Amino acid sequence: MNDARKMAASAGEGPRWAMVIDLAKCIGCSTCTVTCKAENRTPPGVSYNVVLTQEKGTFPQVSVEHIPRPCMQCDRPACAQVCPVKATYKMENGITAIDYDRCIGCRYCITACPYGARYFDFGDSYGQEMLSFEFVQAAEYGVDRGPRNGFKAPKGTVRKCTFCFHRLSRGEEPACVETCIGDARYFGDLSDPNSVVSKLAAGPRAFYLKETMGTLPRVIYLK
Amino acid sequence: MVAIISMVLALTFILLDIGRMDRFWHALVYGNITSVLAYEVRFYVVYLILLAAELWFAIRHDLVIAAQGTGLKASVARFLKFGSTDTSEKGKEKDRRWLKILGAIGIPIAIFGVHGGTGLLFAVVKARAYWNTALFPVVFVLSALVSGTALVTAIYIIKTKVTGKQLDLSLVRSLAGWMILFLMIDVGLQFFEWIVGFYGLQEDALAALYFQLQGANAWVFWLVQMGIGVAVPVCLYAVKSTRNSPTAMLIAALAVVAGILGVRFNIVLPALVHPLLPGLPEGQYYPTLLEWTASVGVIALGMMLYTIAVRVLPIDEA
Repeated sequence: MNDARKMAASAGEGPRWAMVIDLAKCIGCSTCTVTCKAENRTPPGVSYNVVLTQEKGTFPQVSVEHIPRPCMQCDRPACAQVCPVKATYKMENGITAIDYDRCIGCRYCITACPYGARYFDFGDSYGQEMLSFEFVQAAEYGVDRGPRNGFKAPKGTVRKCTFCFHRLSRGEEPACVETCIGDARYFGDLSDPNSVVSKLAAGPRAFYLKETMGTLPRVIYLK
Repeated sequence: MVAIISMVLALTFILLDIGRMDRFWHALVYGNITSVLAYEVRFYVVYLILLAAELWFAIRHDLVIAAQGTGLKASVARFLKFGSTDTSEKGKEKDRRWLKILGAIGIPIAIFGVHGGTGLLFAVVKARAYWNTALFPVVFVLSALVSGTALVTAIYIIKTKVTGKQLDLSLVRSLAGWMILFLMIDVGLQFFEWIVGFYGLQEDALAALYFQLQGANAWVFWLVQMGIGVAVPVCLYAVKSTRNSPTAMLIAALAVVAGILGVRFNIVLPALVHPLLPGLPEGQYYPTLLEWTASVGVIALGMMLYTIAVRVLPIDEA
C-alpha cells in the first residue's frame, strides 16, 4: 500500500469505499451505463458511467477490450485540487463529492480530470422522449432536488458519478455493481484488509488507469 | 485606462462563460488553498483596484482643475476627486511618488499574479500534456507584452487620427519596435515548447501538435497566427518606408491583435479535442453564433466604456 493510501485508510471511522472491475469478466454490454442513467436520471450529455470499447490488432489476430469507466474517486483528486470554491472535495468515506449548490460551473475540474469522468449539465432534457423525465430527479448525495425544471436542479454545474452514495447509505450497492450481468464489478471497504475488494486489489492482476498521473484511484481494474 | 477596461472585459467574458452566473460571488467568498484559480480570481480583483488607484493618482491634479468648470465633465470630476483640492506642484510631486509605489507593487502582480498566473492555470493541469509545461506561464507573460504593446500602439494611432492631433512618430516607432521584439521572443519560446513536446513522443502531446499544424483547423495556425500575427507585422516593420508610416504601423499592430486571437484558439482547443482515454469521443468545437455575437458585444462594450471615459475624464490632459 502506498503511503498516501495508508494515510487515507487511517483517517476517520467507517468504511472507505472502493470498486474493483474485472476486465476478463466484462463483455461490454453497457448494462452498467444504462442502469446508471436510470438510477441517477442523468440528462443528455451526462453519463456517469461509460464503457470504452476498443478493437486491437489486425485480422486474424484481433481482440476486443472493454473498459467500464465510472468516476475513479481518486485519493488524490486532481479535480478537487483545482476547484476554486471547494465545491468538489474528498469525503471521509473515500468518495469525491460535488456540492451542486456551491459549484459555479467554471469547468476547470473537467479539464483537470485525467479520466474524462466529469460532465457539464447544460440543462438539456429527455422530456421529448420520456414524459416523466422532468418530474423527479435522483436524490444524489441523499439530497432531494425536486423536479428537473425546478430551482434546485444541478443545471449549469459539473456532475459525475457518486458511487451511488444515496444507495450506499441505505445499505445497497451502486446500481452498476448490482446489475452487472457478468458480476464483473465488486464493491466494498478498502480499509478492511479482509474485504473482497482489498484482496482483489492486492492481487497480481490489479492495476489503475493512468497510474503515472499519481491520482490514486479507488477504482481498481483486474487485467 | 486601457488596462482597466481590458480587465473588466476579460472578467465579463468569464462571467458569461461560467455555468452559474448567479453564483459568481462564490469565487470570492469561498476559496481553496490548492486551487490556482482561487488565487487568480483574487489577483484579478486586486489588480483591478490597483489600476484604478494608479489612474486616480495620474489624473487627480487634472480632476481638481476640471472640477472648477461647469457641465458634465466638471460634475464627474467633482465627485471623483474625493475631496482633494490640492493643485500645487507639491501635490503633483506627491502623486508621482504614489504612482511609483503603486507601480512597484503593480508590476510584479501583473507579471507573476495576473499574466504568469493565468498561464499557470493551464500549466498545472497534468491531465493535458500540451499545457503541462513550466514554460507555459512564461509564454503567457510574453504574449501579454505582445498584445499589450500592440493594443496601445493601435489605440494611440487611431486616437491621434480621430482627434487630428500631432502624431509622435518616434513614439510609434519605439512602441512598434518593442512589440516586434516581444513577438519574436514569444514565437521563440513557443518553438522551444513544441520541440520538447515533440521529442517526448507522448501520444496526447503529439496529437495537440498535429491538430494545430495539419488538422482541419490548421489554417488558424498558418494563416492567422503565423501569417497575420507574425509575418505581416514583421515585414511591415522590416521595410523602412512602412516602418515610418503610421498607417502601416497601425495595420501591423491590428494584425498582431488578430494573431493573438488565433493563439488563444490554439491554446485551448488542441489540449481538449484529443480524447483522454481511448474510446472516449473526440472533441469538436467551433464558436457558435451566440458566442461570436456575445464576443463582439463584449468588445463593443469595452469600446463604449473607453469612449465614455475619454469624454468625461481628463485623461488626455495627463
